[in-house]
Amino acid sequence: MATKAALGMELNLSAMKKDLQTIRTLCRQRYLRHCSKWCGEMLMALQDVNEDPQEPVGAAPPPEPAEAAELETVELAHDYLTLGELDRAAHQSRHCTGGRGRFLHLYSRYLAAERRRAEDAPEPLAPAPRTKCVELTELRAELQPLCESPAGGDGDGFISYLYGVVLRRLELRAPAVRALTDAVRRQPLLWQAWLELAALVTDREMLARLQLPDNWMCQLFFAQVFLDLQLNSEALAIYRAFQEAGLQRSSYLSAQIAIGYQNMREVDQAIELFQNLLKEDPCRLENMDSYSNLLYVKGMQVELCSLAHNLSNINKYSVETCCVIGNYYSLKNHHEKAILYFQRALRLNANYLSAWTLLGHEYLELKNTNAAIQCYRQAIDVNRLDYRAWYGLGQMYEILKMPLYCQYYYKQAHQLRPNDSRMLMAMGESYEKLDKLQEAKRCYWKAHSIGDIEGVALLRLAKLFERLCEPMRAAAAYADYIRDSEGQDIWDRDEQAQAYRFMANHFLLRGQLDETAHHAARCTEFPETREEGKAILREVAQRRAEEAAARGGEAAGATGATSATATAAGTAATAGPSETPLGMSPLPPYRLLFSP
Amino acid sequence: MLPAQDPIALVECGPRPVGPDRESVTPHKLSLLALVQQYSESRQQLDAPLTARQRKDTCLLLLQLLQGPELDGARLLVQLRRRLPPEQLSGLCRRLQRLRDAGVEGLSELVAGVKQLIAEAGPRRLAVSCSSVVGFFVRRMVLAFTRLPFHEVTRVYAEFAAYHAAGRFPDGAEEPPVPTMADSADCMDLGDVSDAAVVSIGGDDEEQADDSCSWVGQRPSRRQAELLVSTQMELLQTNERRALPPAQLQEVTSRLLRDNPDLAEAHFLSFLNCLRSSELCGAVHSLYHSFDRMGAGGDEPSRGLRYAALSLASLHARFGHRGAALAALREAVTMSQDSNDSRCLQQALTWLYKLTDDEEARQRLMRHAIAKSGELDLHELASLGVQNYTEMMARRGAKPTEAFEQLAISDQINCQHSLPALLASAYSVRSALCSLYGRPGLAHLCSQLLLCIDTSGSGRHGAPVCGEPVALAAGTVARHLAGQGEYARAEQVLSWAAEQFPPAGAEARLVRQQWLEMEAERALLAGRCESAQEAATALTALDPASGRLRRAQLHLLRGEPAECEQLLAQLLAAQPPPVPERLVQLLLLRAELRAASADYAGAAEPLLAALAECQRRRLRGARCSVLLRLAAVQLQLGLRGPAAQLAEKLALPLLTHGSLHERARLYLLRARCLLAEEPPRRRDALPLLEEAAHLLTRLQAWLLLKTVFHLRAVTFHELDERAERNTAASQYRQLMAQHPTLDGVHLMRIS
Repeated sequence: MATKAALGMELNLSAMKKDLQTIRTLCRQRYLRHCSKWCGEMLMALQDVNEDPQEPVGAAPPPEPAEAAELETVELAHDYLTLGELDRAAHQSRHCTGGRGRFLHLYSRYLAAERRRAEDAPEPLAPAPRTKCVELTELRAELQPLCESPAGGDGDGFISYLYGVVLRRLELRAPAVRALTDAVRRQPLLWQAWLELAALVTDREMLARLQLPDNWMCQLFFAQVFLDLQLNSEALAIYRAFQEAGLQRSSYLSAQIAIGYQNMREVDQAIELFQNLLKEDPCRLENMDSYSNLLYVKGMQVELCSLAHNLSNINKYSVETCCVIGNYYSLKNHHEKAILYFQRALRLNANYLSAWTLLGHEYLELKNTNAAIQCYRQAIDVNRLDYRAWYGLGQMYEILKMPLYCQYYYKQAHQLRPNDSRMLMAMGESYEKLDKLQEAKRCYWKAHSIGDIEGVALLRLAKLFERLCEPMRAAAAYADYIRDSEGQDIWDRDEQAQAYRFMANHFLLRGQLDETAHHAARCTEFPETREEGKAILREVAQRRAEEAAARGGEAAGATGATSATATAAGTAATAGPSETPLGMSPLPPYRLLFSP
Repeated sequence: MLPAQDPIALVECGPRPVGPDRESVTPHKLSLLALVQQYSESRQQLDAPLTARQRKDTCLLLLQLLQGPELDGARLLVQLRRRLPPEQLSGLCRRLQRLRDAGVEGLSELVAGVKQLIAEAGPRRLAVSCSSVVGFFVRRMVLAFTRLPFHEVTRVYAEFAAYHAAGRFPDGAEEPPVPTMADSADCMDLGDVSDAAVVSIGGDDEEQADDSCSWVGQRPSRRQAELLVSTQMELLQTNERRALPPAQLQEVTSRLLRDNPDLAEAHFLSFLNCLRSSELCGAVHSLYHSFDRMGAGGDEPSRGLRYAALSLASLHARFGHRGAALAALREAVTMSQDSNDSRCLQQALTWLYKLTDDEEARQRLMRHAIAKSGELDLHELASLGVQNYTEMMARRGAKPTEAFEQLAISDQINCQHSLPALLASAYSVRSALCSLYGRPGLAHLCSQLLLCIDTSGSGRHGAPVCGEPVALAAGTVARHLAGQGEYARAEQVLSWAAEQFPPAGAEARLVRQQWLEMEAERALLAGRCESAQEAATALTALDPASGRLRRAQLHLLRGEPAECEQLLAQLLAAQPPPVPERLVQLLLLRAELRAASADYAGAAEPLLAALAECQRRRLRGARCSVLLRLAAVQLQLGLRGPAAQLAEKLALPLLTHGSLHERARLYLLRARCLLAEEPPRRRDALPLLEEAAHLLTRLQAWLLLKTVFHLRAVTFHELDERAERNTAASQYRQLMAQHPTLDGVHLMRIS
């Protein structure tokens, strides 16, 4: 039932198994290796399910007579293709008219064009004019009548998929989306087509506008898009529903869930999932770069090292390996070496997004601002939705002391990840530098409200209130900060000391001697505020003595009552604001728009 | 109106990128190499030498092809057929055919052949000079070809073969192609040919405009892209109409960027393009992208960043975000100070005084900026600063001599360093000063000078300066003509001006605003309320204050004093306060309003305030208008003597420099003074009324004309001259019939 609620449909595992088997055969026949591999992995998770005798959704059509006649040619072309003799395969299958033969011909031409382009491409790191892709243009011209004729063309889903891919390579996004939508409508089980389509979806509105066939693969597609658009909880809900329906053993789902956790900064859970994945399949390369990022974040040098070792034994010329090794060197502060490895990753695949960003981070570490800016820009060119690159650019300009200029970048990053407090904190800091204290205050408060990652939002807020001469609010913020920091014990001791010192002075001014004494006593625990704490304690003692002297003549019974009232009032004063701290109402969940 | 100037745009200050300049070998360039070879060989043939004319044609064609966009085979063939002698063309086609047939070997032969052209060969003169445009091209191509690995050469050959096949080059061995255009070109005179062959990417004439469009859909090489971008950038700043239209330019830039993603200038061009279309988002994105890409070229890493902040400030200033602009400016200033970049600092200072509110601070900043710019040899900024300072001095009531003396400094700088843009704006400022100081004739003259001056050929791409100053000058000329009742000619001038600017630009808005102001003025004089209402409404969109002033005048005309007073009060209390000329206009209108409600004593008060303002700011022209109105009020108050004296005094300045309307009102006033004497000197008043009627007819100011006709009829009646009285009355009736009047209330307005 939970599955149905999350997916809006019931998963029929045996039908799913049949679907996967069919599509795997079709993909194998057409040399779509990644797709058949994915199907195989999914089928592994469905090993125990009994097959359903019913006909699957994307049933293979019965072979046409033309196809039967050219079977030998097609098989030979397929073998050439398997051996990497692309042009030969294309030539062999040039006269084929059947669905499979024609696809193999066009696909091998596409692969050949891509290979030539990759070989002819100049150094990926140095900017150079992109070469013309005449072959791709020709291919497009040939595919167009097959896919775009008013009667729907005589191409099948595979041809439409190829057309979409070619259009995407030619950077014609809107036609590519149309072609790929067409492809998934004609062949709803072609996972590669779904994946290509997911890479083209830029926002939720666009996703809602797409007219897609409703099957289980579409749900996986939605999850993939949600993950790309940082709608992590929605994506996780779908994946979990799949798992609950009986696909617990799918490594694909586990990896996607781990990435979801990573995006939500649930580092420990993500690491655990990745470790399980590796236990199941120690030779896995996919997603290992994400895993290494997590290890990097947690500073787990040993694990990172062994991962790098393992991967470089498996395949040292894969993008993932280079990234992992780069991360390892970066963690060890060997930034030059790290740069070397990230550059190698980019040589292997110039469109590998995370390497651009990571390379930017390394240059940032080396204070090579210009190179870092270029890298981040490149990352943004590859994918506009990469919030880390935007944030990195903002940081660069902040380092260059351009607080106004960097805000543009922070705002872009914030728009992409509205619920990440780091961008808000960065924005708040730059507002503070620009003396726009009200805006800074709103940023800090929002950062605190949406769950502060770095744990300094309250502190900044408190200091800001102190600067704005709003002692009551500052005290409330400090009180909250102290409460949080006492709970976790991992906070900066300097800042803690400052917080206690402020609180002690604050209560002293208000004459709440008990609270003053408490905070001053805490002050003395820190070396830098020890003397001041002691001084405050002495003053408290002196004042108490004076009070006692003043009350000397009064009745002894009244003393207890007064001090009790005072204490109660004091507690109320502290407790009041901390319930609704700082007197600000909690922010509504929509994002703040600080438009330029 | 004084011209509002922006500091010079900052493109030339941006650092040059140090991108790769790798030349690519393309089929088009191979064809050009073949053309070079063909030409130089046939020049050395002694049996059939080329005529001088043919040589010139070929060279110009070559130049155009080298600097223009890459053409496909068919389009190249069209160009060649049009401009190349037939025997040359067939030779070239043979060559290309051979090249295609010989395969890769043919390419190497071609390159080796052209290499000979630039090689030293003893005492013989070089076929192609190494340092010429063609020489550079040949050397670059030889280098690029030598660098190519074998598989690249095969790729180039394959591309060439496809290009050759697609272009359907005729087989050179057959009959030479029919020379359709070349023959006719032979009988053209020299002027036409040079006209067609002037090489520019920007588009200097009709031919060029067509040529520039051909960039759309083309893939220029890196160098061509740089040339294209720099040309378009300059044109956008000097003469926008000659640049590509916004949509086309955007397409060209996005194509450029797809091919050369690191071409920072193209992003900057896109920024300028967005700026002229007032598209904030696109402008911001392009600006940031541009400076990210520009990076730190050369020896000084932070230079780009300073200019980035400065450009951001200019962007916000243009869109009216004053606070953001100041914050960005502060950043630019801080960084310039950190790195001792006084040039950038001066640019920032120029923006700072444009954005500062406080008059005193502004004056101080300006003086500082002028002095410092002069020291640093930043002549443009110095000259601009002087002009701005002059403007401010004039507004604060400086003596005319001082203001003009100050402006002469700017002229001197412009002349010494040949700054055409600032020369034009100096004329504009001078014209504005003249009209401010009550010399509309001189202002008209200055504007005409500006319109006649030829600034072409001063920039790199030779386009004459055509910007805000031209629009303002056209406005001044049109206003002057309209003041003389020459409405048709004034409209002609303005429609000419409107053609000079792209329709959506700031200049076009300015021209339109002036046209609307003229229309409103004319309609108010003629008493046509609907037209005046339309013009005022349209004007409100362009210049709210001016539109509201016209509306207030219209309320007065319709006899709605409460609404008029309300608008006036709003305008007078507006922030920032109205400029002196506008303030005087407002006070005059208030006086007129009170006079119309027969509150003559009350009318004197705003008049006196206006007079004081005129004297403080030395607004001589406006002062005469105020005095004229004051005399009329005096007359209404029964002070005939002072009124007559004042009218007498005003005669000289008004008859010399006043507009037709003012002169007519002066005559009318004097006639009234004569009629008010004891006994009335009716006979003397009649010629004055005649003259006023004449002027008002020229001006088509029907409303006041009716008053004059009425007064004339009454005077004749009192003189008991029936025939003349009846004539005057029938004239009045005719006028009433032709131009239906409002209502009787306004008929008897005294002036």
